[in-house]
Amino acid sequence: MNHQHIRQKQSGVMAATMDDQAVVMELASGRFFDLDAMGVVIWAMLEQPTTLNAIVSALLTKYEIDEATCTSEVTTFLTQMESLSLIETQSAPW
Amino acid sequence: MLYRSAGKFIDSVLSLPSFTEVRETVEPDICVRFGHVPQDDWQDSLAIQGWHRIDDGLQFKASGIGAFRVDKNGARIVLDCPVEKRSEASAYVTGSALGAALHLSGSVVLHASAIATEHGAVLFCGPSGAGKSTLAASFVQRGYSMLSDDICALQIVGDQVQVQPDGRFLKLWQPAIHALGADAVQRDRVLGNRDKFHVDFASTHLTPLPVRALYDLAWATDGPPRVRPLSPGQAFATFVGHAYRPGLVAALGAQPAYFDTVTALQQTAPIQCLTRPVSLAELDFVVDTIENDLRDLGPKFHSL
Repeated sequence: MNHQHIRQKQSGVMAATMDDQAVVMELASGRFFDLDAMGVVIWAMLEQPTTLNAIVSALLTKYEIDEATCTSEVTTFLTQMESLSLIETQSAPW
Repeated sequence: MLYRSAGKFIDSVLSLPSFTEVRETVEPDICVRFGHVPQDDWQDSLAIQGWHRIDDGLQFKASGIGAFRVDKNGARIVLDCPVEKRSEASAYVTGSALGAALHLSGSVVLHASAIATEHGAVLFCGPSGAGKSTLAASFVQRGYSMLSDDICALQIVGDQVQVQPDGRFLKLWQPAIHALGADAVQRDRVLGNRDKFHVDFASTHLTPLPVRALYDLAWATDGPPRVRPLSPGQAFATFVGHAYRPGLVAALGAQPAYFDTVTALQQTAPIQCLTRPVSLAELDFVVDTIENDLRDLGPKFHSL
């Protein structure tokens, strides 16, 4: 996964947060997805265009987790979100 | 004739025996009229067999009965069928046509039955044959009031999700009527020669109520009745999956309204799965289980 790609949630997606969980709905398919606490934090960041590096940096300040593990988990999360068409990815202009 | 269902006043030229007539002078929300529904170049334009989208509404066909048009954004239902089929057609007016009218007017509509409790409305969701009406009737036999049968129109009011009251009679199969000891209040058949009848328990709650709990009904092959929590994603999928005709939700682009409603609902009412035995002899045990769950849940709103 390219660390400099810009990612943002798709427009045809709705989300609702309840305590430290969230539900994401893709309107076109009517499918629902559960997010755990870390997923909720990442999803909130995806409201604006952001990068893998930016997400990992933010999580390292919030959770006691080493960088390699954090990068791996966020990469897995973003890959799943992409495959489910919940986020869109663009090449960074730099 | 004027009726009230799902919080709407319905002025109908067709007798609707599943509804209770009301004696009020009001401007109706929905008119039911006889008329011509063109069927010559009918093409199903929705992902639901027999349904067709028109400019300001929907059309559908009921095989062997006739055709129905719901237009004016849900304010009018036009019925096109032979005179001898009108009695059977009334079941489609109070079911699919009313459901379509509610969708078109922007309501969120669930395929559910609801009872009134001291802490709010309790909804039983499930497909046809899941036992919604039978379970609701069991609660009525214990002294609760009916709020709605088969169709629940929901509305967000402040921080509550309210169920609109519905003046219709319960529809029950003959074995359930016997099991409930309700033979004395059995009325006419719902449709054709099927052994399903309207039942008048004369115990209907007439004002909107906030939802306190929602149970998705499922059968268990063995074991006692059990209430199982759902994850938020499962709860949301259950809610939208039990829309009154989910295909209409997608066809009318109403998913955001359903999402907003279930989001609000999650703050005040758990959405859970109830598995229970098929046997009607176990009904009392099932009601006990739900009453215990509601007791644990406690009040959320002011008492009735």
